[in-house]
Amino acid sequence: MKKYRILFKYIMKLLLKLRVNYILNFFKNVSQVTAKNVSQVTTRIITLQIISLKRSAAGIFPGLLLLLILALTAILVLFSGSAPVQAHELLIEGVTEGKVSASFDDGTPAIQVDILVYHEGELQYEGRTDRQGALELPEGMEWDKIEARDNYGHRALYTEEEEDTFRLPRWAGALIGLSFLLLLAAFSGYRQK
Amino acid sequence: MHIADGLLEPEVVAAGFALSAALAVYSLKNSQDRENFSALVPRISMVTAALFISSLLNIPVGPTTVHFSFVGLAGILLGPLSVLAVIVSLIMQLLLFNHGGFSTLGMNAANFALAALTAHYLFQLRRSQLFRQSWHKYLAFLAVAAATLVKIAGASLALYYSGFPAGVGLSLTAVHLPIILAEGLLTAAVVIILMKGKRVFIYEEIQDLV
Repeated sequence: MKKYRILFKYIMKLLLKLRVNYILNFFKNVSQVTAKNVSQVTTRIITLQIISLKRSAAGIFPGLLLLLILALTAILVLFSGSAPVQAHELLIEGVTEGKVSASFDDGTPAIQVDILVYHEGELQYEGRTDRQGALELPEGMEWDKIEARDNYGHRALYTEEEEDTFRLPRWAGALIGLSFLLLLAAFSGYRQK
Repeated sequence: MHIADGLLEPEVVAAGFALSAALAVYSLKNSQDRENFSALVPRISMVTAALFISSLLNIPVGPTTVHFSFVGLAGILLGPLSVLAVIVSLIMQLLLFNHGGFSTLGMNAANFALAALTAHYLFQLRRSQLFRQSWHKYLAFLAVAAATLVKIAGASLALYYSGFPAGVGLSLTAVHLPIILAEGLLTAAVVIILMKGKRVFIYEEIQDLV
């Protein structure tokens, strides 16, 4: 039990070192950022950098990298307004009124993407999406599988019985991944001490 | 730059896994700090965190979108150990963001790892007689640019051997130019900051202290 208490104390100490409150406030502020207060955010990033540079030897390295991550997040938020975090997975949205539409999961249409239409394993039709990321299928065409692929290594599959699969929201994925890695860093730091 | 599932031929998939396994072994054997490995875990996990989150930062270029990867920075900070960071971050990106694919994990990891190692070895050149000490920032930029090009070349070769046209390499290079510029400048800035302090963060300088 004592061991866990010490571990907990260590993690709390580490989090304090990284000025968690400051960072959380920073995130809160970033979510309300408009083009007007870009300079304010930049000052904040610089202040954070100075604070982190003043930290003890152990805190400085993770602190700086965290800052890099935060700065990048800020850039992202600034460029995408308050839109959810972008990603680059190719998706086939579905087939409506004989039109296949493909997009990236940040919502931008997938232009000039090859669409391959299959029925019972045989290729029935092949075409490219237009500027809206859509491709019209010939009338009365039967299909059970549609594949989309581009020349940049992206690919998507769509089948008739496509169910709504659960997708982890981007922010949740990022939070889980980051907390795992931070905990790993904290735990191994604790073990060395 | 994560190749998705179902695009590569089985032989290329197998070659990718073999290559990434070989690189992982190479990286562990070549890091002189095997006894001191546990001391480096916090460092490795923080760099992995940066790699992991960077793929969410996209820039739309032409018909597609490209994202940051920071493999160059990982190579500079972790040396051969960056291979481990790359593999862990790719697995986490696949599980949590659906980036890449299970079958292409080997090839993606091999490309990213080769890129990180390229940056590491190029950045070592700053210690040679040919370069002045103050040129490290330019070398950091060059190392990142070269790393990104190696990554593109690896992915293009894998796609080429799976039946894609050879022009893929050119189009991939073209859409990645903004990333090369942005990532190169960011990495150079980080290197300048990290080399100013008294503490050392660059891989070879840690080695000097051990």
